[in-house]
Amino acid sequence: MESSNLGKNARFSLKRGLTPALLLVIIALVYAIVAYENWAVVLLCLAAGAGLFFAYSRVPAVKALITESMRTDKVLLLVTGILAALVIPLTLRTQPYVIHILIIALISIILALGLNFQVGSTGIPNLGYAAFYGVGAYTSALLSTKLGLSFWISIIAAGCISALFGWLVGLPTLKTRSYHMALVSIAFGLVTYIMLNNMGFTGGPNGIKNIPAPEIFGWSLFSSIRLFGNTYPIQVNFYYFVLIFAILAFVVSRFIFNSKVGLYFNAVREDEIAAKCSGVNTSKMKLLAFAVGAFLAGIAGSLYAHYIGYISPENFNMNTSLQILGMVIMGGMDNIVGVGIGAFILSVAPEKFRSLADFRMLATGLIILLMLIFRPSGIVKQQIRVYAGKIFGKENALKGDNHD
Amino acid sequence: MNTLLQLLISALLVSSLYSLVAVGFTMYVGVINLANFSHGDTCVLGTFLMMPIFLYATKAGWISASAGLMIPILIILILLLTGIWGAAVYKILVKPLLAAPRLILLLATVAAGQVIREGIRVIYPNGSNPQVFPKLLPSGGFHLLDITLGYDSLTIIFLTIVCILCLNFIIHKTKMGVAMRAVSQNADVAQMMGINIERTIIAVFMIGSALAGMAGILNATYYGITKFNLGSNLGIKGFSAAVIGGLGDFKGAIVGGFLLGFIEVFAAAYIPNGSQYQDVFSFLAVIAFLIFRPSGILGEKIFEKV
Repeated sequence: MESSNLGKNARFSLKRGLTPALLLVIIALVYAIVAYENWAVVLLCLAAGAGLFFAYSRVPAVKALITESMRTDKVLLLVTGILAALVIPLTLRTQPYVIHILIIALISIILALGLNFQVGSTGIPNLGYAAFYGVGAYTSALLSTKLGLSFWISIIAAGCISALFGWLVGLPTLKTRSYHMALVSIAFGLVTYIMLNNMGFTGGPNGIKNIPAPEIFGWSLFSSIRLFGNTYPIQVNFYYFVLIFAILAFVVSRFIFNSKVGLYFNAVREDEIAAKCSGVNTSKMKLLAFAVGAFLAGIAGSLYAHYIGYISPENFNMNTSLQILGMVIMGGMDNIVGVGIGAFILSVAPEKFRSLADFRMLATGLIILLMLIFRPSGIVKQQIRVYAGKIFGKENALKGDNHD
Repeated sequence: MNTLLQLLISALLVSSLYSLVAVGFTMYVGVINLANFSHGDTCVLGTFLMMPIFLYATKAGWISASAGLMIPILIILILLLTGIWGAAVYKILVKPLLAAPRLILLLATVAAGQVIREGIRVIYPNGSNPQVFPKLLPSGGFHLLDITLGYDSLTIIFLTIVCILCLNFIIHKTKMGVAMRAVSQNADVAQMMGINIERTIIAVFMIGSALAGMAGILNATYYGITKFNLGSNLGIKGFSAAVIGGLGDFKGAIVGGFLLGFIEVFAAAYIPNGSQYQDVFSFLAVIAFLIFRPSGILGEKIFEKV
């Protein structure tokens, strides 16, 4: 009895030390991947990350240790993660391009979270997601350049109009099968692209230039900050600005996933007829998944437009749709953390191999293909929903494990 | 009157190309309930296989000596190659994923299309730019009632009819065709009756991909040009045609192809600024069909079974 207790304590203290060590390793890896331009260093770090991941997924002991220590130290994990996200850009003062990549990664995370509602949670293929992104970007850009509205009104309008389009695109497919949805979404993507290219007020292939930067109480994000004698590039402002939106998107996605609506989404994915029989309004849920996903795309589009200051139809073509799809599939469909990781990897890694930029889309296609064949659940698997814990106490909730 | 006739001819031409793509597309849906989104890219793959082979044949002097015989042989060679490609796609990609949810398989075919497209762009020399495609069909034409009938368009329409008749023969008169129809109706029962399901599905993939290769070559040789990313548009048009006609229905795909071709050509001609938006009109037609008649013109009404 005593000895087993002792063993438990020893394991406990080991776990206590494990989480910080693991965090340190992960943060060091991420930092190296982000900050170093040398592709050999990046490749080495990616390989190390992959090794860590394989140890996690193949060796049950490692997996159990990591999952449990992560569970017990949730607060530490969250605090360190947020701290790292806040501090890292300040150390990259002399490398504005690296911060630019991080901003694009954050926007990609918002996009991938939105697509995850459709492809991951509800199981509806959406192959024209970039069109919603484009609708948001153009709405916001047109409102602020042609009508002179402020950024805050524009971004809300962008989200709402994008959501409206999502709802409209969802309508014709309520009675049909999943591949009809794929067709309609591709068609919508192509039609949007053609329209943006040919209509007069969107500026045609030239796009829209000189989109003003967001202002917070009259302070433009295009003015750089001076702090402790150092001038920080404007990218730092935008980084924190977009980070707030990304965290908001993350929180909202998590809230929806954990709510009843998230459960209904999953019910539609698993078996539509059974869901209908159980009283789930499947039409409403599908439309909702479209609207919410499109809303996030609209917000991301608005952020992109106001950050870059210039948009053209080429930013929102089929390739963009497939890239976002790749992020969702690689990270793990219907797992919010996984989707974030996928979006981060697929938007940062290609920037480090710019000499191979020609192969970028080929690599995206191959990654999606290989992921689907060998690990369709993605890097981080879906979590089983555990409700027993709420009834029988916490111990039962901990037994819920990942499943294939 | 003359413009109308001329438009009619070009509508027939576009329609027959769409029908060829749609028939291949509908075969996958009909037999294993799979929407193969790499179908359009297989068309383009056919053209990019054709170009180096044609170049080699010209250099070796085979073409000039006996053009009338060599070109059909080359086309048949390409059909064989794309057919083998289809079988490979089934073996490598579709078969391991048949048990997975359909969404996974659908996304995998989308990714396969992307890999074909980008693979062509990266591997083929100067692949990002449009490539001049050799004229394989007889040039020239003759005048009839003040309109010009090109031999090439007539050949394309003729070849399409031949392909469709051949396919009709295969489906209705051969043992393999009976097997395909049986698998399409009920795969389990078909297997119990001694039908080799795997061989049947491979045959479907080979025929479908060969049809795609044919459509790609005819399309490229008519316009004299091919590009790595033409396939996505062609594939979606074929899919749209199949949906309009009724997915999984062989005759429906042909009817849908013709409807789509006529809508596109006449909308481009008679609606002001229509040529810029001709794709928009055809997609609107598809969406209208999905709302008001999701089963298509000839399709049966879908009843969902528990």
